[in-house]
Amino acid sequence: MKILSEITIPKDNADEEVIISELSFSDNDQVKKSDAIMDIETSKTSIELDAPEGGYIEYLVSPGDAAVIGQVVARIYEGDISELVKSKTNSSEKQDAPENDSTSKVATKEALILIDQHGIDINLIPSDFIKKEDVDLYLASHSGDKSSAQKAGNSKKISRLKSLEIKALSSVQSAGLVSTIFINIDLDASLPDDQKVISYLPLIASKCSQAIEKFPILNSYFLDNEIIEYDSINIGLALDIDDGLKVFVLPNTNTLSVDEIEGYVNEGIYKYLRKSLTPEDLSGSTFTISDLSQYGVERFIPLVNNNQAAILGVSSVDLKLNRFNLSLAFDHRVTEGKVASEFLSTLKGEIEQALVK
Amino acid sequence: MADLLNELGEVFKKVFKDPNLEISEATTSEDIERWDSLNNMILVVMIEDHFNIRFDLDEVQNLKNVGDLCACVEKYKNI
Repeated sequence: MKILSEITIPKDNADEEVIISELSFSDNDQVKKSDAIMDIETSKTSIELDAPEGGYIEYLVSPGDAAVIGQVVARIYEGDISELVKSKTNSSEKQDAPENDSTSKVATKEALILIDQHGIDINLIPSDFIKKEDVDLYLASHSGDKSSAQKAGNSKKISRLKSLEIKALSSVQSAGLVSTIFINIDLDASLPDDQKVISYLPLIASKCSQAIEKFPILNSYFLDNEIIEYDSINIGLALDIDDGLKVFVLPNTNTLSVDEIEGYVNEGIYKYLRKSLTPEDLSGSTFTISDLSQYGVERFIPLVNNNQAAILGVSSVDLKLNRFNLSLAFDHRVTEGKVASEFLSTLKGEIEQALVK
Repeated sequence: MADLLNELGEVFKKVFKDPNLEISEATTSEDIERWDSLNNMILVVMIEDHFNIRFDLDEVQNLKNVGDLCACVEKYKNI
């Protein structure tokens, strides 16, 4: 059985780990070159993996499995691999069997899910036929107030996509050194007619990238006691409409006009809605803007993304006071309040100056 | 054009979640409070789906009012 090629998780996505969401064929199915063989999910988007050449496919992962960059997830063989698939099935059955035999314990599906969720050694549960109630009882007697048996309300397991998102956002926040400062932008003026846009976001992104040029420390990140500054300013816009949080990138934002940024923003929103954002659209942001202005938000604290120093939050316009709030959450390991405040004041000045009196 | 305007009006009502919303050819984004970048693109996608057309996004970006939007929809319906 000659292996023609091995399919690995590509590096061109923003995460180190992805989730296998769907397999398009079964083992030993014949595939053609460029056939979509599986879908994988990153914290930002879904990606289709294609067959690099035709042949017979063997999958090395199942839907729901996590896989890391570079991991081989499938192989394409020159000829029929029915024997290999058969022996793989037998071997997997054999692997499952001893576990049951060695413990001599049987558990219901509900109980097994709980055992798996809490990482409990099945041998520690004092019953040969384990039901959910047995696991609840075990948890109640072996853990604190947060055991599932004592939780108030209904629990719902988060999606794998959400867990990847949490992982991506945990990196900076878990260091516990994130501060947030706020500033109001006064709107006692409106944009000139030739710069009319139906949102302040393109203007904010443009002025933000120009302010970053003056404060490049905010275009960097902390890694292993070093601060690494990016070569280019690529602002990412966080979007969460109805398909999860995705951050699409405005490449070299500081070189774009407000109109060009507006075009990119529209294209990004359009692709989000059409679920056609590519890994390229979502990779390489060096600073993020989170815009919650559509939701009547007075002010909020955004979460700093992995491999970034700061994130700008845009709140809703207060029509009575004719102003809106900007928040800047920043990694204190990279910079401090004084610099962040100077950046935010500069940004406020730039935005207000762009609004003609 | 009146039929098209009525049809578009129904899409606007859905996007802006306002059953009483009335539009005319002169309506602009300034006349509808929630007509921001996000809702503008939701509107574009819903109009595309409703009329089974695909806009050129650059063209959409330069539309000034609902009248322009009607003309644009008419154009793509005939392609």
